[in-house]
Amino acid sequence: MTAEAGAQLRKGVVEPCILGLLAREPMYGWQLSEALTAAGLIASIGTLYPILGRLRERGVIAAFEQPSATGPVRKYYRLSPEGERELAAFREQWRPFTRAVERMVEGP
Amino acid sequence: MTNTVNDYLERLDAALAHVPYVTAREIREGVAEELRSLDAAAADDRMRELGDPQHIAAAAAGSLREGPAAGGAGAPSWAPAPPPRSAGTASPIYVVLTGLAVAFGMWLVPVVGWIAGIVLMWTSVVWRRWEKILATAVPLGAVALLAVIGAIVNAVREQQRIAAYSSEVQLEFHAPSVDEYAATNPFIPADYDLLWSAPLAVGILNVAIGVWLLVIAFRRALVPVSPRRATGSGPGAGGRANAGGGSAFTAIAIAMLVVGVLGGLGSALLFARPITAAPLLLLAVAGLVMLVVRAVSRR
Repeated sequence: MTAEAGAQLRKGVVEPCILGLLAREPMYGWQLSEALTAAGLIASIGTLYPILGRLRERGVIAAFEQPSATGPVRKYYRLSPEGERELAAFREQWRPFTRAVERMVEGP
Repeated sequence: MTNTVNDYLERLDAALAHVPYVTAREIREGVAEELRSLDAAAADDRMRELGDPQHIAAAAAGSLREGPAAGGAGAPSWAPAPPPRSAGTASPIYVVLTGLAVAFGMWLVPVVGWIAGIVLMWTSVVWRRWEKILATAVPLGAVALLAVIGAIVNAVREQQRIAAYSSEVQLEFHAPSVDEYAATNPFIPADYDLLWSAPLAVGILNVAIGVWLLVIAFRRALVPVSPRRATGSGPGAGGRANAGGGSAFTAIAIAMLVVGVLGGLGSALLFARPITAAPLLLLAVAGLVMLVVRAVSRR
């Protein structure tokens, strides 16, 4: 697989992946960055914030500030009802999509 | 916070200079809140993990340029149509228009002009919530305070009037005697004093608040620029890229200064009316303050 195809794949799924993470629990910037970087979905925390900005503009996530147990007040992100709908819509497309791709690329 | 953390954040600020302000602020706050929550050793590790600030800024710029999904074709197909972007509310023109509307809206169209400025301010992403609340509440508080003072003054004057009548028992209409004038406390303002000085005071207060909002926005547009501290690749890249917003601010500040001085002096000399000159001279002061702030943050 070319590097470009890999990059396009990651870009295509990073937004729903963020929605999926936030569907479990609200997370703050570094937590999200760490999870997504470890999975190879984003290059650095610098990539994350423009995506978060787009998701907030679309109203699928919302930010709120909350003091953490150990550190200062942190900005957490959570899924909005609109985001839950978007995530559900993605799941519906994702499963048939991956099954179809698998059938085609894995050969006999 | 340790010096290394401060140093890292300064390098991040410098690197983020060419990233749009709203995104740059999010990244800066996200990184800062993480580093501040750690002790020195853990913060060192975290900074290594975060990597070169230049790379963070480059990734942010790349991510903004490309947009979501393949080809940057906007929102993914499963997403509903996105609402229009709000980035326009951070543009220099919008910000200056908002500052001027808050400062001078009252002078142009009483009450409505000010409300328009406040609505513009609340729509913008440049100012933080507490700044917006302050800019809205202070003039309203001042109006409330003046109303209370007016009510007290009226009550006191009413008392004096009753006292004057009851002592002299003059029931028929008469011109006030010298004694009656002397009985009135000269330090208590008359109705008409309050009537014209209260809007003037609130108007001047609004000019101060408008200038304050402009200065905040103006500094935010410039703050990430500290080219002398920038390290790593691309010397002065941040400063150059930010010069667009900065020079627009400078041009507007100079225009405010020129229009304010010429208009203020002109109306003072031509019409011999200091009252009409006052707002224009305040406009000139606002322009001057903006130029000084620009000069200071550039040094």
